[in-house]
Amino acid sequence: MSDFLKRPRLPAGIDGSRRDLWEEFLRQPFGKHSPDLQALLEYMRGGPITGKYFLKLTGPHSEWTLARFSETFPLTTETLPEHVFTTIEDAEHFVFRRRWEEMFGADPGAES
Amino acid sequence: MSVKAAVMGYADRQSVRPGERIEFKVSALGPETYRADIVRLIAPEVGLGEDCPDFCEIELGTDVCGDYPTEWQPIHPGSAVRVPMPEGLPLGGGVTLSANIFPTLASAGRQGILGTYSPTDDSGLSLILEGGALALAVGSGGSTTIVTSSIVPVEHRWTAVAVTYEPDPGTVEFHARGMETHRLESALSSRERMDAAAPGALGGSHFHVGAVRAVDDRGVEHTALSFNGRIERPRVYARLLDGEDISRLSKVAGPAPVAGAHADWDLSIGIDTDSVTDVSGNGHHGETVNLPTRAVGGSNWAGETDNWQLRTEQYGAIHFHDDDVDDARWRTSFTLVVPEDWKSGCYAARLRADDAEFYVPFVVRPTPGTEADAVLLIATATYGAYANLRLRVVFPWNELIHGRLTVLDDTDLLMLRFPEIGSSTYDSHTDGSTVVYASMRRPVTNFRPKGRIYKFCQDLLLVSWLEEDGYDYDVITDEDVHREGLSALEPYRVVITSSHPEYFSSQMFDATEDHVRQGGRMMYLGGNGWYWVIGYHPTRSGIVEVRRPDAPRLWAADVSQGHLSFSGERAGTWSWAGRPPETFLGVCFITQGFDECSYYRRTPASQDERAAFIFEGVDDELIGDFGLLMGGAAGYEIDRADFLMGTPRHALVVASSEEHSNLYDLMVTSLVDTLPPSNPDDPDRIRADMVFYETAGGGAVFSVGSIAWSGSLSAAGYDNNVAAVSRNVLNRFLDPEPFQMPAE
Repeated sequence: MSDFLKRPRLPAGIDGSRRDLWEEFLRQPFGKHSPDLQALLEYMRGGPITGKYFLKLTGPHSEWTLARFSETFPLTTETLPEHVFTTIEDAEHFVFRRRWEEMFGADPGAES
Repeated sequence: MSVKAAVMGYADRQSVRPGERIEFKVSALGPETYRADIVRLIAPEVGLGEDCPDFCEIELGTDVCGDYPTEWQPIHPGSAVRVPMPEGLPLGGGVTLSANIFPTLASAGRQGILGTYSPTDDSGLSLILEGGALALAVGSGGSTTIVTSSIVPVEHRWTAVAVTYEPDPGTVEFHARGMETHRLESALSSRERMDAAAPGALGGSHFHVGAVRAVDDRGVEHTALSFNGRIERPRVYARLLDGEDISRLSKVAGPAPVAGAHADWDLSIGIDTDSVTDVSGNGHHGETVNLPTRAVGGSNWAGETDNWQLRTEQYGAIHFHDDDVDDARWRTSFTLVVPEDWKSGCYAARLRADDAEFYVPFVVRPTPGTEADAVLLIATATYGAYANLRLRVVFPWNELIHGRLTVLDDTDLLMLRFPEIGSSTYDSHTDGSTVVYASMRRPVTNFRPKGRIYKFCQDLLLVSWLEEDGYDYDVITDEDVHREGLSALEPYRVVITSSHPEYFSSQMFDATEDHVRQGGRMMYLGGNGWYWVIGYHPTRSGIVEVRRPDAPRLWAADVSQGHLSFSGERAGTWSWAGRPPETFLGVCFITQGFDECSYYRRTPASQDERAAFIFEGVDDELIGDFGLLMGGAAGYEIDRADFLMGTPRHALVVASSEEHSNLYDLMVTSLVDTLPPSNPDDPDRIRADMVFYETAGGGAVFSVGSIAWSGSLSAAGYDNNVAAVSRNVLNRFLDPEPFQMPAE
């Protein structure tokens, strides 16, 4: 399947200085978010399937291992066994930080 | 390097009674043996939280349990028309093959259009596409010659093509003429002769349209080199036609434009069957293999109607795909005869090979005459439509629309490792066209008691609640109701639905509604129910058809496909078909969100004495503000009452959900609902409504309009207000005392 849907745009004013968005996500990864955090999440989550992070269920809804799709088609997957989580929230926070760092060059959670 | 273990399987049916047989077909890789056990499923694997029931399966001692030698059984996808032609093609005086073609994936390499060629034994003769160009494959017994022209039919355009072949001296002449001359672009018109290019074709015992014949190393005959696209009016002449005759062959309706065809298949005949009819008078009738898509517009489709029954002559095309698979066609590995003393319920064959595991669930119905008063209707039609939901693995926006990282396990990823197990009706074929048929006659990765808590896995939460509370209940499937109608439900006072009974045939809709009309009770403990019209294959079980002419572009069929091929019925949503689900359930799906679930707040109508039994002993104003499915009983997919759309006038909306996350605003079907209300005092239109009403026959309907409801039953050891409401309703519904319609 091709990535025929365009990735959403990142609105102006959302950049690496907006630690408030990380703090909001840290508090509440799911549910109603502020408009800016929602826009940032849509950008982060709306990327192509190639290279995309996902979670490999490695325990009965109790353990998740970070994994990634291949960079090319046909898709394969690779698990990253050094990153194992026992809550979905921890996994969401970890991937958020990685993506933020890839986008803005610094880990928003480095001091927290 | 050792092969990573894998085991997959499927059964020949999903529903069986004591004393009946069910056949399991298994394929495995890796260790020398795999293990098979039969288990009864009591509770799904949903996690370790304190509100989660423990996974519970009961191993049953049967003579089929044991270790079996590992055997790999391949799947050969790709659809075709297959015609027995034991005498081969009549080559003596030369032969002409012709058809109208609409290729959709020229890049797919070598693709068979029509003929008898087989690469297995280098026999026969077929017109093919070779790298997008017209070509002739000629088998001479020991080798194959591919004679390739320079003519490249245009993708997604109708082209009349033909080839003539003289075996001695091996002269080949290709013809191609674009048929869409109304377009503002140049039309293909080409003729190419190649002398002595391929002398001496031999043999070929089966004629194929849309593929060629092959035989695998186990001796199993199958399709190969599948064509992607539509083919219309394939014809064979046992002589060399001249250019003038060939130019007349593209005509598809009415009498044959050139007399004396050896075979002339009018594919508009038998659209609702697997049969293909030769109208030449020579009896070369055939059948479709792997369910290519019928009831699609042909070269002469004129846009007057999207109903193939009204202009059948405009539906003489079949759309073939190289990834069609309607049946893995594996040999049976073991057969279970269900013991007479097994209780009705959910069961499975559990297959294990090293660390690989695969479940093949099935339902045991009760012996007739021993039915309980309540029945759980397991949503096999919906499981079928979603079978091998590839979109959940490869769709780039999956994480976005779910508002969470995608979670996959080894069983989900079998779809990447073994793509030949096929797709669901939410997916696209390799050529980008929509999948309209889906089958349970192949390994299905998302029909199991583990993995994503959705569909069957989630429905086992209803089983665990019924078991926990000690209810006597039976289990039957959608397909049982489809095939048997009302009689499948008549033994029961109460029908309890699955969590997501989204796909309904008219037979299922009629039976469930008639059941309530004559006094039965319906507990709709799910969301997005009775939403899409489906058809079941008329003769083969486990195969459903879905087309979505009213869907957003994502899953749209092309505009010629407004009716199902299996039944001729209008396709799309039940609302589109003029029978909104609100008229029966009181509610209809409006939107979805998979990041967080919410709760219901009781309405003033919940104080109505008609609803008193629902909330007996429940003093809470909020219902289901907890649960193992993302924290609430209202969510995943939610339904709302709508009196304009047909919610019965006397229905009570006893509770409504609120405060859903942003993601519930994203669903295209509810876009208008997400706009600010014209009156600020109006309730939020993004909500699940809990509805109750009585019928004149003494029956009643209770609907929660939320998939997530069953995820809250087990909280606090099943001592919570979702379980209490469910229990109250079930207890009253089991009471034979008729319900009374309220006075107007």
